[in-house]
Amino acid sequence: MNARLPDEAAYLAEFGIVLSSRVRLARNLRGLPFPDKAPAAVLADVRRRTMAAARDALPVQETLADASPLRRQILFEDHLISRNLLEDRPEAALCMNAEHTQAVMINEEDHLRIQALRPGLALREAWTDADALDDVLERQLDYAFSSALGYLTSCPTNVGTGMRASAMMHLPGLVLQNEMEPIANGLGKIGLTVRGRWGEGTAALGHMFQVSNQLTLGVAEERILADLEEIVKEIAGHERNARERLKRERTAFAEDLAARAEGLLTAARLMTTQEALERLSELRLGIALGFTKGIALAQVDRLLLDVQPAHLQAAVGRTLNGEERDAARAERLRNELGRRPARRIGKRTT
Amino acid sequence: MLCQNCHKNEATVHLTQIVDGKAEKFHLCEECAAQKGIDVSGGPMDLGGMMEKLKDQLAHLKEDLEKPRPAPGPAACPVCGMTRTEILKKGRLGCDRCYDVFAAEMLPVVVSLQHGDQHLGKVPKRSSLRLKSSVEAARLRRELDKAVAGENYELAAKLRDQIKALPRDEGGTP
Repeated sequence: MNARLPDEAAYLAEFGIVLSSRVRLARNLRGLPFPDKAPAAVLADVRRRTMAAARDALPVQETLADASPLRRQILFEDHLISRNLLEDRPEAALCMNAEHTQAVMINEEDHLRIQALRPGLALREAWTDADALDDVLERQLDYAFSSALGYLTSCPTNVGTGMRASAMMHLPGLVLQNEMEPIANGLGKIGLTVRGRWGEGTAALGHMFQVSNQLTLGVAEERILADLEEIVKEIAGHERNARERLKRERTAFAEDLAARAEGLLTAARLMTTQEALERLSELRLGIALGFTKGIALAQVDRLLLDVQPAHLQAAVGRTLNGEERDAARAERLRNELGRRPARRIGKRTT
Repeated sequence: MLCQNCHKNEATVHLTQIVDGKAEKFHLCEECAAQKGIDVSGGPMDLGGMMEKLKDQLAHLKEDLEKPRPAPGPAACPVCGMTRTEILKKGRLGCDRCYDVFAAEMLPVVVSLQHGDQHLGKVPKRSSLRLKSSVEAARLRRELDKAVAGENYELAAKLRDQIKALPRDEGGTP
């Protein structure tokens, strides 16, 4: 037990607020219509050429037309494809590295959407990965580019660097202290956006937010990343303060929230995705505040993914209807969080 | 965001005008706003009179902003067949050529959504030397402006030399 503590403290310090960093680059091939306007034959050519160019760097390749709806849903929940690609889009495909941390979506809104993911706050590292991958692809692909407008994209909001960098942040303190809205409004004024990870606006499901740059033209990648990183650090600082105040000034409320979440997660027989994400967020906060003992933050983070519909069904090995899913989800949560005999010894009196 | 009028200073005056039920935004620096007679001092308000004045100023401003735009190009893109109406409706372009074909109407929109009108980021490694130089020159010119504004003439001279040293003509890989 004691051996775990330093690990847990390190994990909390590193991923407690910023879970991951992501950089995506929009690219198109010169002289060809963008996917929305291109005939299937052109898109097939784009797909073949891009898959060939990516073969060594991203050897895990699949065409989405061949993927089952469940497989697509898993890729979507893993953030590897966009919502658009859940539907049939002609000649859409995905190439990934073995770790699924680098990928290129083919024939989404743009011919190529390159992306790189890093755990924790590591925007520059994610950019370095995406930049290198872009260089590899560019050796065989001729991009649409203009000296004034940079990389040309289907939507003019992406033109220039074509880069969208984002940090995934868990901000329960700011939400519970009613401080999220002014922050979200302020970000808009400096060219950044904040969106819910699983829902819109400041009432984001599970207090999970994505903070990203909005502007892509007239500013270099390094500058966008440095500005975003600075703001993410600032928001993380506000979140730490909000959590401290929550613990100090609303102790009973915060402790009750975490305990109720743990109670439901370890006892419920049916649980929807929404409820699971909400209770897991409260449990995550409880762990960070030191109220919830014996559950590792990494376990909760794993569950945030595992409780989602497609991951759940893949684990069970068959498609489930709504109530079956809720039952399987509740069981998965009870199994993971409910039986912790080794960790409970000497830790609890109740 | 840069001023829509001079494209030099940071836009600090943001106005919204409703035309035919659609909101149009203008972003100006204080200097240009003052030149156009827009009061940014925030003194005591005479709402009725102010609205009249503002309407009048915005009408002029809109004319001014529209003046330097080149004449609209053809109705459809020769590569992808995208029409102007379709672009306005979807907010998307059909191909890279659309950016040239519809430059007259697209560029002001793009710039109003963005931080500036010149790409300052990555350039494809395989692009021509001329292309690389032109983006690099834009980046250096921006630094030069800053150096001059900050009266850092030593740095400014260095930057000027760097700009001069950039290759001007096609000489690299095609």
